Amino acid sequence: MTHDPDALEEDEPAQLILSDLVNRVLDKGVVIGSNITISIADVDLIQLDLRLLISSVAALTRRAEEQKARGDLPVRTRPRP
Amino acid sequence: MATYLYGLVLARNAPRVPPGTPGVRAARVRLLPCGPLSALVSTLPQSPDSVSLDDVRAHDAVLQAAVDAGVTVAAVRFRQIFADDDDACRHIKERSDPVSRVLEENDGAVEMRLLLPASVNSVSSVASSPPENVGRGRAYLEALRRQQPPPLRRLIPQVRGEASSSLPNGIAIAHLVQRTALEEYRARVATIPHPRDARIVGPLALYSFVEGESVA
Repeated sequence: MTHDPDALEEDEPAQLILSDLVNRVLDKGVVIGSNITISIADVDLIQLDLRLLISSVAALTRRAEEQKARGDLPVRTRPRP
Repeated sequence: MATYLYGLVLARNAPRVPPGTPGVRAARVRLLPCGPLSALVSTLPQSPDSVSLDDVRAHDAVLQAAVDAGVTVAAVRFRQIFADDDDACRHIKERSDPVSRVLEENDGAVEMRLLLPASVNSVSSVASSPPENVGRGRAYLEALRRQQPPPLRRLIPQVRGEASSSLPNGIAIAHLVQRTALEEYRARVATIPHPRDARIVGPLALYSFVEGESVA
């Protein structure tokens, strides 16, 4: 299995842009007839969020597997609070 | 039949909106005059009983076509569906005062969105930044790590309004900016230290400044 660092670098920004698109379209903007949206789409919107979450988790899992295959250990540089 | 509503523009700007953009379920978009406003709508055979990512993208693309034509658009939230045009217009007129006011006060403005990934450990270098701006920018990043971002508009004079929201994988900071100031805005944003994977998205329709959010 080959490792393409460029593809991975592009993946996270793409996920970020997609999650922002979903967030702003579903959660922002003028509400003209709120009862219509909530009553019809409640369950479907949750499913859509789940799909996005699954997609994000899949990307993280793929990255971890590729790091493992290369023998890299995840490095945490965030300072302790 | 049902009327799907995408966005609202000032009636005087309606002639500049390109007609026939494909919307949700590929239905063609048209302009519906409603008093001081014109609505971007399309006709659906019936109210869809499911939602897809393609629908979300289509909703945004309709608004983007108007923005790309130079029109300031108030985005309407996803899946605002009405029985017919008359029903849509009746509801729009009930809300037309605050929306008209926002569009009049911000005619010529767009929304820009600064997207910051959840991991903010990798910071880009900013060789040409004024030292005080770098210091304040780094303080901003430290606050971001604590999930308490302070207003960026103090650092970017072109910003007329600011609103932030959490994403599953980061933070989105919306800025209200006049089109005429976009170049200066982008240049100013570039001087602020930011995560390597940060992205600026826009110009967009006004999503974050039309439903009670504060405008600076």
